[in-house]
Amino acid sequence: MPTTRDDEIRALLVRKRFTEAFELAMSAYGGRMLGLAFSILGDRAEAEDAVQDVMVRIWRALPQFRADSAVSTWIYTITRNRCLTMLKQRRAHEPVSLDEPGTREAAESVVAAPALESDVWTLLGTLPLPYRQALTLFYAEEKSYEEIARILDMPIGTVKTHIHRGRKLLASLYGEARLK
Amino acid sequence: MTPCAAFEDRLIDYADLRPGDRSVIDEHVAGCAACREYLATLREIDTKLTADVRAIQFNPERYAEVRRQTGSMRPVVRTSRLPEWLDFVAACAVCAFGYGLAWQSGVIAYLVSALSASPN
Repeated sequence: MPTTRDDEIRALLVRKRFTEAFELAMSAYGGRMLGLAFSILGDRAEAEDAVQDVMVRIWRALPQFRADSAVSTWIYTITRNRCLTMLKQRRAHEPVSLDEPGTREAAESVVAAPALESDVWTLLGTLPLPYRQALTLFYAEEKSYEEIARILDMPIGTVKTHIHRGRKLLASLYGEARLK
Repeated sequence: MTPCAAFEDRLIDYADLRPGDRSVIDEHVAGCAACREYLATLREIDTKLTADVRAIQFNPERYAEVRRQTGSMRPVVRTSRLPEWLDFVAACAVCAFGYGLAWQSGVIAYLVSALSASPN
């Protein structure tokens, strides 16, 4: 008997009920896909473009889902890969060379005008990209380090380090912000 | 709000600590205002970010557009090349097995001799 939404979606996919599976997956994970996209791209409109595109790709690829991972892990991996591609394309069109020392770091660190509400979310947007995406997944669904590592395609130790350093930075920034 | 340097990393990883390590931290935090405040800040951040990330909604108008697009296309059921390749191997294996059986039972030898003995 299905116990989680992920199981329900998987059961629908097995029975080739793609429309229902898609509706359920998008209602369950659409917002979090946007959160992840926003954490990578730093621009609400661009993140929505990315997620819209990813949703269509997911619809097309539903029959190819293999049950060796959670549906959400599969969806977030596609979302992340698409956003990183968009980020690369954006960088290719930027007038300043990202190969110049310090420029890439700056581009990864600054997220322009977060359009989401809380002060902590705003602070999260100022962290370097690897910390942002790891923390977004960490808080989105309390994903295990293993799943986050799979989505981000990096070792578990690196994920733990990113989350640790990200939280440390956030605590520091949050403390400073409260003193102002 | 600067925590004790010796405890900062463990306060950040508090949720991942084993019970024994956690009790050491609990003991310290009970007597250290700075670390207590730091741990409270971390928890506040956790609570706020969890709520924020989970509250994000995808724009319904955008989703309607997605459904409009997906309504006109079917999911791509891509057949793998591997099963086709395996089908070919299996067919070859069945043929070889059948030939082997026939050879063993003398059917082949009988057919060859019958054909060679035929006047035509």
